[in-house]
Amino acid sequence: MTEKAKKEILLSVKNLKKYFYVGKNQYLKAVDDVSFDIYKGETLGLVGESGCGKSTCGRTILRIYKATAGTVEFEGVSVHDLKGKELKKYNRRAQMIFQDPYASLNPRMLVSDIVAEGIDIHNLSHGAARKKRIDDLLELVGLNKEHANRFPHEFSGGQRQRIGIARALAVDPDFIVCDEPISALDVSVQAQVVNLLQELQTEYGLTFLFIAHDLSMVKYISDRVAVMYLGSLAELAKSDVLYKKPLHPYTVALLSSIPRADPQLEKTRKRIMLEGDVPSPINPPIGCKFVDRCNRAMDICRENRPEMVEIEPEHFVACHLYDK
Amino acid sequence: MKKKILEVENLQVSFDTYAGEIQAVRGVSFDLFEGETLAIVGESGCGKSVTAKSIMRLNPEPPARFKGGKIIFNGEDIIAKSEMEMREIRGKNIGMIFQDPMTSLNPTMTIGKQILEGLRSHKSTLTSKEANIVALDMLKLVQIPNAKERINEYPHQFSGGMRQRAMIAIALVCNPKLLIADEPTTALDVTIQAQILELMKDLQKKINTSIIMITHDLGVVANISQRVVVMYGGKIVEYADTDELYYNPKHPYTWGLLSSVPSVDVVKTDNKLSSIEGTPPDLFAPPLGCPFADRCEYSMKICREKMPPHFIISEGHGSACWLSHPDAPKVQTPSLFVGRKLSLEKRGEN
Repeated sequence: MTEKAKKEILLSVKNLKKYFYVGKNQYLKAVDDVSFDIYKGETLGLVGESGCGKSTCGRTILRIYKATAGTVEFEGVSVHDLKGKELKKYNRRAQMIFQDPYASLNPRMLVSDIVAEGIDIHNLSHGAARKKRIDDLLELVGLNKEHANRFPHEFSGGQRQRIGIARALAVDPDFIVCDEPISALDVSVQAQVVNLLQELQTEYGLTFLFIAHDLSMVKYISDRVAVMYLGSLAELAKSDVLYKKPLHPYTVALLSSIPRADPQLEKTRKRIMLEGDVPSPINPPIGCKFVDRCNRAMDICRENRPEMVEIEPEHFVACHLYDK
Repeated sequence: MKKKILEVENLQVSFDTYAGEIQAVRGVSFDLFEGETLAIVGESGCGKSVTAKSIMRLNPEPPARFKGGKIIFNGEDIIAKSEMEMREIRGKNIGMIFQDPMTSLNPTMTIGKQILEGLRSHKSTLTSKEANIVALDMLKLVQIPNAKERINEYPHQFSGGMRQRAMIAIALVCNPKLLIADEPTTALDVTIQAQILELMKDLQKKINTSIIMITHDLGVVANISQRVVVMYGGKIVEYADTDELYYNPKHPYTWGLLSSVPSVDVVKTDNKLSSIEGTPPDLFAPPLGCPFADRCEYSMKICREKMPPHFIISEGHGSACWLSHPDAPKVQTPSLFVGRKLSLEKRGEN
């Protein structure tokens, strides 16, 4: 990313919370006090194990879920207070690409209507211009215009994901939440889709929140990466820095558990194994959420929840090991 | 010389559908030795699961149809067996772990009962008390905490990683000679995946089973296997020892597959990720020649006309690509692999 792109904040998430009521006066704390900024034109990767709240976080930013507490500011305006025309405008500017290309396209709609749904809702073009727009979009994502009159079942997984991307791009968005857009695809096709996303980003100056659990792909595509654990952020840094010098014990363990595609390295490399499973987000530990699985846990970790602190410029970590 | 435990020779399996015949596996041959781990790698639809299920004869017939070839397990011809005889082999001599631990356990039976099921039918001499002890030991062996209480719980009370452990316990309870693992870690998180892979390696040492690992994750392959078979379009395109395949691959598909995985350890560059353009061939009408020809940047006229045989590169390494023919034009190996080969040789000297 260029120096200029770094400065301008597009989206700012402040103390965002999203609780789900699960009965018996208990709440599932899917997103629990998360704060971060997304700069214009960058890709922020959001990684974590399943159930850590990364998808809920992305969806709450887009206002698919109502936030329990905290704010999401898009260009300085609180998203969750928007109404009427302003809300519709935000819904156009912030789009989403979904994980499962098989479930996220309506099987009874033609590809042209799927792609144009946003165009129609936001009254962007009609008649011949609409048709031209659809053809252009399909070509942009590497399909051809003959595909417009087909149904989703006639396409492969990679092609469907391209349709999903065309749908998101149809309304000229500024910001796209990519919720595991490649995890349902084969390795060789993953690379195709990732390359496409990057080309589109440079061409249209898009900003991405890239949610994934595939850490190597996240490193490749993201400028900065945020690591989430049980609803809270553990660490946030530039992707090169994070992968080279992870500070939080969870990040260290997570990175060390990725199997490397190199047999010699696999034989010699020392791994840090995490014991056990992720605890339930209904009754998370009072202190640091990672304390029960952490190999460097101290007494204070059980009592106080650590705050996100900027240890080095642009390197945030929430861990008592780095208390000053 | 190690003992061969499994021989698959020219296996061909098709599925009859209303739209016609899908030739899922089109002539696959490989051997498996005692105590080793063989990985079968490939994209979805390349026939890797069908191959593995054929060894257990688990493909439903119809629509599956066995078209030809041989499967010799432990000196016995699997294809000639009746369904009753197969029941003796399944679970006792060959165990299988499936991809999705959420759906492949019975939700209405306790974990303990599901482990006992195999024991009861294959080792009927055990009294129920003895069987219970074996089941409990097995659960402890796969490192389930509080195994004594957990044995009476139902699958929904287990987390994803623990369900996969329970499934491994079920598969291994009769000490099978062969364990087939069909994408056992695909549905799991990386931290849990690392635990399960360690567990499988550990157990292999203890019980000395052979493992066939089906996966599309090349990192998992590097971690666990000694030999690799790469499948594409129902055929084996390359086979080699794991090290050889990673550091000296010969088939353009293997090149594409290995280079489309971004490395975690390399500093980020602005280079585009290399991808394989296009999609796998339609197995309703498989191509006459090499199945990869349409996506291959090196393809020649002969590639579309005739399927290349396996050219032997070195001992235990073969590549089904016309480029490996002695008369073929020489092509530049992608620089990534030249570098890897050099680094391996360097490491060997040190």
